[in-house]
Amino acid sequence: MINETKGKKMNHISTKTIAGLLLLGLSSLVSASPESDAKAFKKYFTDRFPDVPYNDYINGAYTIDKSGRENWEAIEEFPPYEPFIDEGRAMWEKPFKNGKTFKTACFPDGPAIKHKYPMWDKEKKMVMTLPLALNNCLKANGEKPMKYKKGPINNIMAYLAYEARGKKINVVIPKDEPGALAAYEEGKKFYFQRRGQLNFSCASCHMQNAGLKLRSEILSPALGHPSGFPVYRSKWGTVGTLHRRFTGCNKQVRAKAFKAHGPEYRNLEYFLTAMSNGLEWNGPSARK
Amino acid sequence: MKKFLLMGCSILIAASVGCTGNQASEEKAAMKTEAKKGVEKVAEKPKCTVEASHIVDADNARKRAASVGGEWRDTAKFIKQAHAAVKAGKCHKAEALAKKALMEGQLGYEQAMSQKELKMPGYFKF
Amino acid sequence: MIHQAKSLAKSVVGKKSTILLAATLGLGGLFFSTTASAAGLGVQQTSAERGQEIAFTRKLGNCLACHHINGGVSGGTIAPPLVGMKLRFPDRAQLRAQIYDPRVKNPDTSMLPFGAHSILTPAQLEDLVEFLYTL
Ligand code: HEC
Ligand code: HEC
Repeated sequence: MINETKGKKMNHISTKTIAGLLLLGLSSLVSASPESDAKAFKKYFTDRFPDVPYNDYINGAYTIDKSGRENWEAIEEFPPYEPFIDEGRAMWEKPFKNGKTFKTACFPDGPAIKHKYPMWDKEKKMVMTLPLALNNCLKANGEKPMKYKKGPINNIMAYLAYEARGKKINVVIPKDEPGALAAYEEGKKFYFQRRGQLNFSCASCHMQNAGLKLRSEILSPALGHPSGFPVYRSKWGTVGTLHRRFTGCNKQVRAKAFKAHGPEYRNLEYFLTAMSNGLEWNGPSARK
Repeated sequence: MKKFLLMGCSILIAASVGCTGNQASEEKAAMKTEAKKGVEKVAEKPKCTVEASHIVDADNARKRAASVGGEWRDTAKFIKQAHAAVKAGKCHKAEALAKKALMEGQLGYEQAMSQKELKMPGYFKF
Repeated sequence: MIHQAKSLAKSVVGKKSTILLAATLGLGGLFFSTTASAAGLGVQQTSAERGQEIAFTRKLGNCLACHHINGGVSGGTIAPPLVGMKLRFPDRAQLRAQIYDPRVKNPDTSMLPFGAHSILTPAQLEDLVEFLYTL
């Protein structure tokens, strides 16, 4: 009899504890917000490289590559991406067959719009990137969409990046849109997932080994990564977009790359850019 | 650079396939058929039926890995090369490539499945 | 404009040197695969020598990407230099296991699972161990 009441009591207690644990679990879920994530992300790098000023993280590997920096600064004075900006400006201004332009048809706030992307598209319920928005605009106006990795896309992206230089990175993950947080979380998971035959995650190289040398190449820190895009790479001999870089980084670990501006890379861009909130946009830039 | 990559890849394949020693026996087999040809005047390429079915298995494994985002870079290429080997009647080569592709499909699938949930590394916590 | 051309020229030079490097490494790869298939034809190469080529060749072991190894050029700084291997790994099986799947010892490792992901063949792993024991 006594034992039974005891047992009941214990049951009671344990349900309470479980409820309490559940609540705790819930509150810890709530507290792990994109904002606190970005703080932790920033702290990881500022702790790792205490001598590097925070605002310097917009410069890729040159943020920490002291010996390569001087050469790079010399290149940036007469930038190899300049002709691309000019071509891009012409594209922006050239009317479509229907007489409208990018600005009058789709981007009234242009040309300084790059800093608004990636953004959560409330109607389409997906992450919208600027290249995708540009192509949607072209299609809606009876024009042929651009290829995502090579060709004219790089011109117009170079121009639009140039126009948004100095604006703050400020990715918004709207709280009233559960899909937005889910997309952000997908991007986060992608970033830490090991993949390919070589079994690396993005974080293996750009967090765990940032600043160290892979053969003779210094690995850039992930903080600030999207800022300088598109970049002119000597290795490419042209300007290339962020998603082209994602493709390259996936392939070098012998993983099959995903589609440029498909859901995986869009969510990845959403997460990665949100981690750099507070830094400045600094595209286009030059790289090795 | 690209050229080098291609060259490198073929070296890799040559090495991995070559290492198993199939290449040599294949060449011998080819020489035998050549010799036979001279006698019988009918060159029958082997059909590699079993090997072809192994390529189908490998491609299914590749698709399964792809369905969870775990496909590796070269798996589809190995499958393509295996098909070409079947066409050329090089059954041993087709088999080695199919085996390699199958294994990659399986490993890629397992790799992705083991990380279905976000797994944070020890060096960084949010 | 002239300056621009200059910086472009600079990048071309950069490119050339990588190609050169790649070509040298590529040759290493070729050498390896031909010697492997020519082994039966009496070309003399010890297991340790083959191991060294695997370690230094980008498309094979590429151990230099992360490790400094005596005799190799531009080793990486991600991992400890590979020295005193007999002392560090008196047990041969343990050394092989480190290369086969370093995740067993350290789940966060940035070393590749050379055996578990079939990046190298069992015979190549043996050659590597032979080579490492000369360090
Ligand atoms: C094996 C190591 C490795 C892995 C894994 C890797 N990268 Fe990279 N990444 C590099 C190297 C090397 C470069 C060129 C040098 C540099 O900037 O770090 C680079 C460059 C970049 C850049 C350009 C930085 C700049 O300012 O020019 C971005 C962005 C990037 N990687 C993102 C990623 C993402 C996202 C992933 C995961 C999908 C990833 N990387 C995985 C090695 C890696
Ligand atoms: C991408 C980087 C990377 C590559 C490539 C790499 N390693 Fe490593 N290796 C490491 C790291 C990092 C460690 C340190 C232990 C750890 O983190 O797991 C290590 C540790 C080792 C150790 C143990 C050293 C000791 O003193 O304890 C050996 C042996 C070793 N590696 C051999 C090799 C061989 C052989 C190759 C080439 C086939 C190779 N590694 C390629 C990153 C790498």
